[in-house]
Amino acid sequence: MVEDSYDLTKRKDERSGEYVPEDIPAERAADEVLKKVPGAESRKRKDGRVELNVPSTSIGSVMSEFKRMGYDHFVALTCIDLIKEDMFEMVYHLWSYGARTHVYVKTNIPREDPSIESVVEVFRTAVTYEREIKEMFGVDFPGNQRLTQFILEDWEGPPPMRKDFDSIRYVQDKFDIKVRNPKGLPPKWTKEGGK
Amino acid sequence: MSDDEPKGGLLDQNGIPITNLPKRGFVRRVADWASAKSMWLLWYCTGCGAVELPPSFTSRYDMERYGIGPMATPRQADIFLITGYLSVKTLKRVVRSYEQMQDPKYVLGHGSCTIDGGMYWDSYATIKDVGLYIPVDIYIAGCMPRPEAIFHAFEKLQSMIKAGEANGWRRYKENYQYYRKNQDKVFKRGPDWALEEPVLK
Repeated sequence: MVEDSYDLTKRKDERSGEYVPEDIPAERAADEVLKKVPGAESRKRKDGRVELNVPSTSIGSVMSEFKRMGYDHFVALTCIDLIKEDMFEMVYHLWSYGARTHVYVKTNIPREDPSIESVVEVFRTAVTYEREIKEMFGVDFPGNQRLTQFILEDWEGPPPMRKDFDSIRYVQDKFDIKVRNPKGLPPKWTKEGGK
Repeated sequence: MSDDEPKGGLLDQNGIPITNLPKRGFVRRVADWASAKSMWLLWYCTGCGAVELPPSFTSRYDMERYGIGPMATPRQADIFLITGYLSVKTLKRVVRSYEQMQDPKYVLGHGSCTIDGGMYWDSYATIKDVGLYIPVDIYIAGCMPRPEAIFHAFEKLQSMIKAGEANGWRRYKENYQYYRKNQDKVFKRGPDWALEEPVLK
């Protein structure tokens, strides 16, 4: 629930008669954020969907700005390994139920020793997404208190979803891949005729 | 069973024939004959193979014809049917369930994922061959195997039990160090899971 102290214009809800925050479409919300965050760029992708590129240091304030404007559904957080540019791209998807529009905020962080401020303080649901990305990509989230082991049990290798993770080599080292029991097969079942 | 089919259970993992097959007395043979026709099936549905089992249970194919019925717990089951790929995490639970089952116990690997990983052959998360970690009596090839293939495996298993050849549980105890070495390579046993080396009685 959005608090009353916000300076946004409010409209009267026809059913309940209460004053609720105005539904702000994605483009206008992005413009509001652009005014406050230096170095941000926005791009309209289609009706009701806006992409926003922001510096990684301002991600927390951008998230709270959007939440204040009614974008209170944190849909997903994804990470993309841009190995050619030596970057990780973090994508934060937000949805406004009132305006029924979608905003996704992108930010790049360096691939070497990756770390980005946690948005847990703004969106509680980000905890699990950040845990997963910590495990799969090795990105650190200062501020998230719960970056413990998530899906991978007893994992000792590098983060597996990174592009430079050599899956086949890992599989060959970890699991024995071999033709099983070739001597037990009759001659007509094997390529070499039983040899 | 024709002569050119491999007799499952007679070779160990390295292709070495198991020579110390137990001599079965008359009572044991009768008991094997009887137990082959009355078995409880634990179906461990890890992958997509689970969809083939409802038709096997129900009236279309009717597993009860063979005296085989589904069982909910490992401790009361005779057959352990592993339907599909196993992630490393799941393998841990599979081995734990397998060790809880009473002897004699039989493992069926269902689908190509249990044989060599199938379409997950290069995945970091799934194991490639179940037989490295627990002994498998019969593999059912296919992706997915049809219920007919499952019933072929049941018939084969019954004939193996009657002949005293379905001795995967015996192999597990005889070669416990081998299986344990493979298990330790992919997962860790916690302090709450300290199993003593099983003794073959």
